[in-house]
Amino acid sequence: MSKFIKKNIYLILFLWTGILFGQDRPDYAVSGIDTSFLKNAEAVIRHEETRLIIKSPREYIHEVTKVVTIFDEDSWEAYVIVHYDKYSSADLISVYLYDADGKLLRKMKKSEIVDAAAYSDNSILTDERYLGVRSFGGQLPYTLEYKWKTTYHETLSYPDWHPQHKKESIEQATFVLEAPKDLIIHTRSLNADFAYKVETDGDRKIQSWTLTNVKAIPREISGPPDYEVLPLLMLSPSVFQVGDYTGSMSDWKSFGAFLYLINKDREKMPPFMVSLISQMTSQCTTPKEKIDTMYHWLQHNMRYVSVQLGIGGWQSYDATYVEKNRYGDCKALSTFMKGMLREAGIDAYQVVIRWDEENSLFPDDFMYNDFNHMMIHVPSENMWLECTSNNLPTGEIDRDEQNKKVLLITPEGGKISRTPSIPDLLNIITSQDTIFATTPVRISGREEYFGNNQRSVRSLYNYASPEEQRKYFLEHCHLTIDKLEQLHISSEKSGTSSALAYKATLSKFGNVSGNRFFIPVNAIQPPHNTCPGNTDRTTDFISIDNYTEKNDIYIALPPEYVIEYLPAKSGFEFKGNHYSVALNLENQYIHIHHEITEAPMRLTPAEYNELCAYYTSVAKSNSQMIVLKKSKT
Amino acid sequence: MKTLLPLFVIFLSFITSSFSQDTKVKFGKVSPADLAMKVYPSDTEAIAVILSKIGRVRYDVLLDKYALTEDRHVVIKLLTDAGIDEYGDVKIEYYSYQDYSKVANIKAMVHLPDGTDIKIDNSQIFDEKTNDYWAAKKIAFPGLAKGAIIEYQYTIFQDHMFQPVDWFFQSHIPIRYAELTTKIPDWYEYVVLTQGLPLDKNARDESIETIHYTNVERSGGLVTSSQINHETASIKFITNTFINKDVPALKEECCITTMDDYYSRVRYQLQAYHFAMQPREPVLNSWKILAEKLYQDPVWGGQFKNKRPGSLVLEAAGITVDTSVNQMETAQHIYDYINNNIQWNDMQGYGGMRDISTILKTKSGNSGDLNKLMCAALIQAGIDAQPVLLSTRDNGKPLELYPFIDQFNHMVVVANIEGKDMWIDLGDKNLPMGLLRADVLNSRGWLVDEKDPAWLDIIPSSSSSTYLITGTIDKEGNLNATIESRYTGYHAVEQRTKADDEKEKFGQNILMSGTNPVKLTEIEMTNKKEISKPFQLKAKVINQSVATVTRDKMYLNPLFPNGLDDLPFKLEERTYPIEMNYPEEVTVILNLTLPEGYTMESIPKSIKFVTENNGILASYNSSQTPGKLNVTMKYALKQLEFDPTEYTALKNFYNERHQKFNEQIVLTKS
Repeated sequence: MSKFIKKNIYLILFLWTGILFGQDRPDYAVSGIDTSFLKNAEAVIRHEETRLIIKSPREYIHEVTKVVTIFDEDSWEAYVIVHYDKYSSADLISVYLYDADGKLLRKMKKSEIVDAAAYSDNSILTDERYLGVRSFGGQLPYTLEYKWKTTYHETLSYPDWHPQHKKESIEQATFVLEAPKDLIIHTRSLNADFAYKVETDGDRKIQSWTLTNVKAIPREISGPPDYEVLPLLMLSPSVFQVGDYTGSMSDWKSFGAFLYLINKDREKMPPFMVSLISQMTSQCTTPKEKIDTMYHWLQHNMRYVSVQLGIGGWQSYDATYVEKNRYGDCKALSTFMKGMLREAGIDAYQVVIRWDEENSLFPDDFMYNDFNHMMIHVPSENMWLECTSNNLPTGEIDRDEQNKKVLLITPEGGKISRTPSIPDLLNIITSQDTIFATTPVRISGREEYFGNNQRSVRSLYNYASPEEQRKYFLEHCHLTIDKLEQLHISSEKSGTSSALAYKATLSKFGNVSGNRFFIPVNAIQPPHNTCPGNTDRTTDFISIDNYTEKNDIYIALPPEYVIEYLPAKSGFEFKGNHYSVALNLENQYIHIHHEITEAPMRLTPAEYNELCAYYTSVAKSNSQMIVLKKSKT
Repeated sequence: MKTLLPLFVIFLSFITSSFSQDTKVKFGKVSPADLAMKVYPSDTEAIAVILSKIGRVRYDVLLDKYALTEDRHVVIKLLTDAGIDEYGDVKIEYYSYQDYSKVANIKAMVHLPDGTDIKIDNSQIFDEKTNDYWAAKKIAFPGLAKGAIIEYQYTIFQDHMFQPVDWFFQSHIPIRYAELTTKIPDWYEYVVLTQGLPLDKNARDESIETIHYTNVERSGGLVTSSQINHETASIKFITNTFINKDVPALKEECCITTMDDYYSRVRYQLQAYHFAMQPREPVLNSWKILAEKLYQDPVWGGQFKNKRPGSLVLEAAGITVDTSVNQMETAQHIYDYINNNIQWNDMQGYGGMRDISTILKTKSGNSGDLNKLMCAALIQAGIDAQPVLLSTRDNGKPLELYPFIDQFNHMVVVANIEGKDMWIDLGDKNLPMGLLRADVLNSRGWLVDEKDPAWLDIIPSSSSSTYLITGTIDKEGNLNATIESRYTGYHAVEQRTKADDEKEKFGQNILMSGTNPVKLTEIEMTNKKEISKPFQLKAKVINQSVATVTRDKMYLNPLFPNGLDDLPFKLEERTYPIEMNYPEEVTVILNLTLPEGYTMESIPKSIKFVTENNGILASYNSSQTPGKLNVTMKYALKQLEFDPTEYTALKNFYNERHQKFNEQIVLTKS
């Protein structure tokens, strides 16, 4: 058995050395691809071999050899990119370009390979870089054949293997994991039947996972996340060594213990802070008040700058560093906040989380370092603090951090927990507008945002100058404003709401046509949702939108007009989504009352068609007109 | 530099001359008043203010490498949290390719309102090698609090004498004091270009300085002997001083070329150099001499003058020159070959770096490279073609007074094919032969004729969209219709690009019923790939609600293509001229059959309105026959540049258009 595999590997190697001489490869011809693989495909992976060669708990090599035919320049595969940082080195060994018939067009020169900083923002100081090639100049379809290698000197996680992206077919792809026999590497495969093989070669254990003939999956708007539908091989070390530390990933508890250990005592407050903290909290009577005071102090005195320190990026700068610089990354600021709290006699834990728009894959039983962010949890108050924001109220976390599975870093090790979320009922936007449809048209209005809807108004309040606020308002307003006479933005310190109030004259409102005056029911805000994409979906539709909007518009009836038509009250419901509108004449004012609720949902393709029907009814109701007619004189 | 002394002399050591730096502004000193400042009096809304920005450019005659240095010293007051966020981190970028320039001697400091100073040590200054060409020094200023002043100073070293200075005296935050001095020997003669707000001081001084230097002469042979000479030279220096005080912030607005065309700014362009005992060597002569020089450059002009490069392109495209074939076909054939086989690498250039055989080998190139292939191939195919150099809109307006090459960042081709002049510009796969890319439509281009170069007006060709909507409205107010549309020029480029990008979503936002998008189904595209032909769409509208229906009336919503009621100008005032890209025309024809039993009660009046000089026009025409309704809407933009004083009129025009195209039609049950 083992001989057979060896022979095969030898064969593969032999095959691949042949390429180095740059020959034509008729076997790469597009005509050789089974036509069923072309459906939905932007690219077809003809051959892939990825090798992860683990030398020790500290070091490993990641090697990729790939042949891929590109049918669409938008394909993920049309770029060859190799990431590296200060813990690794990268080599983009070769890139060859073949035409549709497998004729070798050229070899990429070293001078064509870009070596660039991954982030170039002013406030991001990291060593993350990449090597990359694009602009192959091939006429579609063309085939790329490339090989790259990265060598890691320090790690606490291994790269996962994502053999397939959406809109890609695979002819053949293999992942080979080579490691010392006695070093346990946890693996888990998802969403595919990988052909698995294992053998030992002396003190090395060689495992391989192979996929053959996998057809492309379409990319649909708001479809399910990749980890639900695409093949995935997850890898995780049992033991790892970084710096002077040895850590374990055998379970969440021990991984948490490692993170605790490398960050232990780094929160110790410098003497200046000790006296400042006792001073600033001296008037506070409850722990909650203390937390609030200190969190506000942090928000107004420290800023976020991404500076990475060692231990795979998971060791924090200490509190003295933060105090001195008045800045830090998420870890440094969280550590600092933890230190302030401890100084005031309040225990807090650091928390690692994946801060992401989607829910990430976080299996309970597979230890897997997929985190990208750190925050703080105060168990005694059951409070969560996001330490990089100068914007959030005390105890509130960003919308994309809510309801996420996280790991608490406690002195007893790691513990799985879940962040809270703001109840749906509290995510509300209300608005009241009063409009005098005279010449010029005058409007005064107030919009109030609650819960998670405050993001943009709050940052306007906190960051924008009055001039920038005006500019933002004018450019985002759906009305044709002539002169914005007043704009006032406010935000409750408690975090419950933020508001925007304005007065303006409009150059026009509604439409005058002949002796009639038309006012759309959605006079101020156009409707929010239409049915995106095709109605012949094959995968589920997922929406995470979650808010309720209530608008009251009062339109003073212009004296020369009488009402000819006032649309009737209407309302629609669909799986927690709601739309209703009611119009009434109240003391010479037309009152339009709107309510819209967008609920989070996951729909089957059939249910998605029902959603589209719902949206169509809403659009129809929303396109109704109020009709006023000039009274006869 | 090498021309200062005879070539056999090698410098071993030198005594630096005595021009030490002016000591007027000291690093590390800020005034108590500035520390205490809470708002900037001249602009009370400013989030930060540049208290001073001082640059001293010097030329050291004794240095061989990096003779030209600029010491720059910047002091910024941070007034709000937003100011800290935006200006608390500094990034100094420089062109590092082949050690072209470098940044060193960085000093940085923070002054807090309570009087504390924080020095930044070198370990806190981060080096970034951004890519193969650029590098940066990054400083995250520590200890910042509202009211803090940050201060930094550095020296930038360079060898580039052609455009050693490009200095901004204005920014999007106010500047209280900006000063630039340059001290350069009269060996180099510069044209000084200023733009924007007038400077408070613009002075020129001359001085003679004596430079002491040591040189060592070596004789060769088995035993080398050296002789040390101490020598002096008198050199005339030209010192220019520019000062601007209380410069207001300049904020970005829509529809302009680039902000860099509007900021107060000083640039130097080398005109000639004149070294001791050598004749004056003009650099910036005339456009004519620049053209001659370009044609002497083997990588540029050589590619057009020699047969081989152009023939290589023709060979690669599989074209054998045959004069009996019509020229337009040949040109199109070359164009298609390059468009489909050579990829644009998203970089700009005038094609001065790589020769044709290299471009063909790598199958990719910058914007100028691609057009170089086109031009050379056309010439070899016996077609009258010439290169034209351009500056793209975001690179700023070309400076026709000053013949220097570095202002150009793009090259296109102008060809005379079968008696017709034609612009040719490659790089965008959806751009047909005969159109320039929309982002290069920037006033004029320079035709590089070896004998007789000239500036050509870029007259953007007009683009059009027409829509024909034919359908029936039923008693429930639903529309069933077919829509046929046809796009030319940039409108076709736009729609094809949208179809590529939006894929299955394409068509969702083409037609509007008031503020609601009308869903198009069964979309058929014609000439999607045949980019030289108009792009056409045919689609159906099925059962879409387009009316408010009451017991006895039906109010039809307006129906028009998305964007036709756009209000491009939303701000109250305008500071800069408005510069539109290209002229355009949109026509919409509605032929609707009305539901049975209804008659027309009221229909919007036919009207035509225009801006002054007929620069922009919109019209609405309606007519009816029993049971049928015909509406024609038109919009045409002819004038491309507008003065800020015309802003209100423009804004009103678009408001009026919005009003007219949104009017309703009323039907009554008979």
